[in-house]
Amino acid sequence: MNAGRPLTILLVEDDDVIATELSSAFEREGWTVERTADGADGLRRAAEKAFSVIVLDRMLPRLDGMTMLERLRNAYNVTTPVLVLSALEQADDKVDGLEVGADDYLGKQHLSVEEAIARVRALDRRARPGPHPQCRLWGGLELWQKDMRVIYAGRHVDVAPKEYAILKLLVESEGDTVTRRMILERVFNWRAADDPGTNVVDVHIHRLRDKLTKVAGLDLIRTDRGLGYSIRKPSDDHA
Amino acid sequence: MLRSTLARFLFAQLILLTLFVLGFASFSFTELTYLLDRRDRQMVERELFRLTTTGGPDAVKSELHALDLADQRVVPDIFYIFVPDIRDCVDHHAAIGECADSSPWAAPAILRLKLDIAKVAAGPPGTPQSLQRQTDFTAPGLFPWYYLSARRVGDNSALLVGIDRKILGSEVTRFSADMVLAFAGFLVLLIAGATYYFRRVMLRIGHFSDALNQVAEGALATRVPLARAGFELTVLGRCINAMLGRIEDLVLELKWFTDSMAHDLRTPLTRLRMRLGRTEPNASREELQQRIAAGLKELDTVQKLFDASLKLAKSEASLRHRKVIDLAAEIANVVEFLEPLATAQGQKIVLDIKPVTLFGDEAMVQQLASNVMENAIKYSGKGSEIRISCGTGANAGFLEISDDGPGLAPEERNGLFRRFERGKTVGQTPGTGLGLYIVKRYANWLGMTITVDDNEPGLRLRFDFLVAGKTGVSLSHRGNF
Repeated sequence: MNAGRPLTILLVEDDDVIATELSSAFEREGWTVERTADGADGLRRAAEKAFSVIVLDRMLPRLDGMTMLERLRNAYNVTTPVLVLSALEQADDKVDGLEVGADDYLGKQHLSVEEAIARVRALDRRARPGPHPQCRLWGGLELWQKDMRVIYAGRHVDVAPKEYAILKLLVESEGDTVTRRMILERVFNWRAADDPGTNVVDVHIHRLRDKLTKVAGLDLIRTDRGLGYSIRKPSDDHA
Repeated sequence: MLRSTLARFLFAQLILLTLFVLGFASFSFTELTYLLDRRDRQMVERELFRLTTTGGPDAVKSELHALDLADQRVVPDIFYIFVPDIRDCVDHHAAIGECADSSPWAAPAILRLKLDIAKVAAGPPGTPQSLQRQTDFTAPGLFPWYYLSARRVGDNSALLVGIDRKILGSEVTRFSADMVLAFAGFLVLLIAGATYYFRRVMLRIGHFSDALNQVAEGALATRVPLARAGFELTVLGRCINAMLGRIEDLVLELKWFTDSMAHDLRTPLTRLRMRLGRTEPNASREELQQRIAAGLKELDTVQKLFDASLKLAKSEASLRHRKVIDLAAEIANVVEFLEPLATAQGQKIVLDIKPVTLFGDEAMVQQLASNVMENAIKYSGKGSEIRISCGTGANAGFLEISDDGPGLAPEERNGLFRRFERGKTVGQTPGTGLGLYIVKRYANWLGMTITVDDNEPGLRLRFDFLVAGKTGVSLSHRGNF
């Protein structure tokens, strides 16, 4: 597991089992977790204290998640990144969530603690302002945005546009796990609630991996079993 | 019966009509009376004037005599009375008839009158006096009085001219009675007509109620009867039938869903139980972890199946996020996504996509395109060629996916879109069997018609739809009007 930054998380979830699993997992990451089971209390806490990320269930007692989020954004001007969890995962529920002010939306059918951790890390990273360079560097890799070129140690790697996009996402995650679902949504603009039948993402990764290995002589992409992929850090031992 | 809105409406109309007619009749009657009254007075005064200006008493007498002989009254009801000497009437307090000299056509009742001749006597010659009402004088009919006017003629004589209203009175009475009868007859016809109409409408509404009661009791295939006549009820009937059709579809869907769940979840749940249920006392940690992992995989299958079926069992997706979709771009995106799968099978994808738009839900279009293409990749076999084309035809857009693989027998083509139906050549290819069923449901919702054909060799699927218009709306086949 990545050490990463120590984050403070506000978890607003009324299902005790899910809340317990998530908060234990977050704490194992070295994060501080505040837990509450209703929307009104969640709103109060989020307004009073600064958190790194808020993980918010949609269906809550006293004040539902979407109303809480809308008030947080509009009445309290809180810009903390928010990950919404929901049993409602039709595409238009997701669009609603994003319109109200959520930064990411995850259906409970896709929910695992690893997926939640990966998404929280991604949100925290996005929230930190950073430069948008023309060229991203990572170990020996150079990613040139303008013409979607990949160079490793001075040698060109011939990648397809979507493969470039996947590699860019992995590099921007700086070694954190990127889940298959995240790749589906961000690279392939997948809006349907279901995952596609076969693990097409794996196939794309496999091709990208082959191309990189051929040029770099080593496998730059690490498989995080059952969850997704990450880019090996330059300091990692190479297999 | 008066709880019925229709009956109340008709009843109110009848009452209003009756009131109106009565009001109108009264008004007419009053007006008529007034006009006749005026006419009579004018006539009497004119006659009086004419006769009394011809000359003195002798002239008047001879004029009256001539009138009497010729029987040429200006109107039939008019009469004349000449009193040669008023002093006789006044002195002896006599009835007119006793002191009148000549009295053509005056009714006996008039002659019995003791008029106030003193009034006539009081004025100078030629002064008219009208003697309209006599309170002690009554006669049968609506007009129990006569209009009389008198003038002095010469020094002591007087001429009385009057109109006998009895005759007219009886005519007006008859006229009124006729009108009342006519109206009564009209009213009867109106009530009869209204009752007939009311019963017809209530009968049709009764048929509707009966049909809907049957549906409520479970006969979902019942529909309300549609007659040709009666525009509003037929329109309502069509709406009701469309709604009943939809309800029937939904209920059947739900029934299929529960049946399918029972059928298709049984196996993975059994497997799950088996994997997790058997615990060897000495099982190693690794073995336990393996069992848990295998169990989780079965759970994933169960969840996938459940989610997919649940989504289908829901009513159609929300209409809020429909928009104009660039189908060509969506297809290109899905092809780029799935292309590695095809390459892995040695398959070739040939694209012939032209710009075309449709109005609908983005996620649905993406899922539809993805399912169809995945299906082609999975089942057309290694090394096959898959052609994908889209564009605009005559007035419509189309999407076509074909392959040159083994294809399907005609009977298998018919069942292609059925839930959980999988072809004979499928073998162990993993899949839930719901992919093409989802395609059919989404295609229906997006207003697409699907045709399945033999590609000779292989399979060809074609989707036809209306292109998004300028207003961004395309007609859905679900509209009934």
